[in-house]
Amino acid sequence: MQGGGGQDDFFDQMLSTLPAAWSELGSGKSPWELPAGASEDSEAFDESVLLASRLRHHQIGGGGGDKPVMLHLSDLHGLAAAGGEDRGATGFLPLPLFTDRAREDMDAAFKSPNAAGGDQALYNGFGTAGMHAAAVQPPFGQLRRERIAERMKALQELVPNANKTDKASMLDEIIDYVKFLQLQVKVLSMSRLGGAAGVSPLVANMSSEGNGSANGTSDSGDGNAANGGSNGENGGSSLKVTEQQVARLMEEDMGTAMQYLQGKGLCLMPISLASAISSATSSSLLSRPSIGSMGAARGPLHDGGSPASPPLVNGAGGDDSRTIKDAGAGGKQ
Amino acid sequence: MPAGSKKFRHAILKNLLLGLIRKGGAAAAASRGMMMSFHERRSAIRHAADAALATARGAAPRWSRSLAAELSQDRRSGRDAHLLRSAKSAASSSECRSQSKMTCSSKRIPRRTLRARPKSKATAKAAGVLARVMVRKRARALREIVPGGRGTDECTLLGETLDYAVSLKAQIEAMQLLLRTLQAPKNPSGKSSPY
Repeated sequence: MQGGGGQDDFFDQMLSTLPAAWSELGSGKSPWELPAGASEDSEAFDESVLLASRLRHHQIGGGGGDKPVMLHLSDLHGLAAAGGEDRGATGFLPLPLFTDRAREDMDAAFKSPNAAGGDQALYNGFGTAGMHAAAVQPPFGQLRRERIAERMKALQELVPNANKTDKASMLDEIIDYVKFLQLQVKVLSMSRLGGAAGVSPLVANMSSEGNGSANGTSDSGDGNAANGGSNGENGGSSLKVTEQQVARLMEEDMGTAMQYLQGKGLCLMPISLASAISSATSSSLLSRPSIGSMGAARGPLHDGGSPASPPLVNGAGGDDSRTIKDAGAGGKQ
Repeated sequence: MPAGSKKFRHAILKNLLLGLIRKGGAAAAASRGMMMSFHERRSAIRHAADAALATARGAAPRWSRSLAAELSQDRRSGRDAHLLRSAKSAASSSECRSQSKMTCSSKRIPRRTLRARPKSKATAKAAGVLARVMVRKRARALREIVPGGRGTDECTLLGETLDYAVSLKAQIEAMQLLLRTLQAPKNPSGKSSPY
């Protein structure tokens, strides 16, 4: 297999390099640029990538003749070396995510006329009888399902908070996480090239209803003026300090910022959600203002599966701050 | 360049710096001078960051090409156009092949699920259908988030999401590093300790 091929059809590659592949797999050589153990991210993918390669090779080999190697479940777990796969060093982890479903589907696949002989040799590990059919073409359906399961597993390792066994919940978490990362990029790009230290334009003026200065500050990217103006009505400088602190933390480490907020009993949520909550329930629910400039709110506040990205709130400019004001006005006691 | 490596992070940082310097130069030459509105500056920085990410990642993953395409549509950024063009020619043919195969099997999968041996046929079928509907909904949501997610089957989508998430993390780290360096002029040298 060659590295950097990216989008090359890996079946063609396998067919051409089959004899050499087994030894390569044994040595754990990665055909891609990914150096072994370069980072924890790549390490997480490596062993599953090897499995994927083995699976493919095995299926082709099993169709062609009497390949003595059979992939049992124990093999699936023991991989530690790196292998190769398309799409830039993403990999799969050995365990199918949902063994019951996977087993049923594989049994069905076994019975279906599409299953190749190599497949069935694989299923010997699952206790089904093995036929021997010569099929050079790998069974797309079964392979696909395995790949999906492997990728889900890899994603599960990547995304925090991913102890869900349900595919739908897992997808929810993944969606949340990607939205969160995108939001973080947005946040970071707001404070970039800030010039003066301590510029924190990220902080919303949720707590500042009726604040006219939020709209007014629209240049120099300095949100401090907005913060200063916004917090006058709110009972003093404590909130302002909190907001600035949160903004500073957000620039450095999102996790710390979240923890800080949670320690104060606050959370991030999209403005639309905040306004929905504040309008739907009593104001006591929002007695402590949520600093809702951005963010995927996790946990109970999250609306599962909503694809809309939360509107980003600036300290200045445009529709966003108007939305803040409305939400803030709604939420205040 | 693969998504998980340290070189990737460095490449993003380098591209980002270059892009930002370029944009700063362009803004100074523009009529408004350096006083862009907050909004404009934020989108300029975001644009530079995304361009840095896409160029550092290269043309291999689908989302990278799609992101480059979006960026070159927004503005007249020449860099992403290069990436896009080179990527298209290299990847389109093989992608078509793999995509067609994928679409074939994507039709096969649901049918196979229906034929699976259920404990009691009716409830299992209903559960299967419901599960698939839920998954479809979420797959749709995921497609809208990940650039270039449209027109990909579920398997590719998951792989793209994985790569995209890792790359986003790297982008965020690079930006945080840059931010920390720029906004922490405590040392006399003006640089903070290495990340």
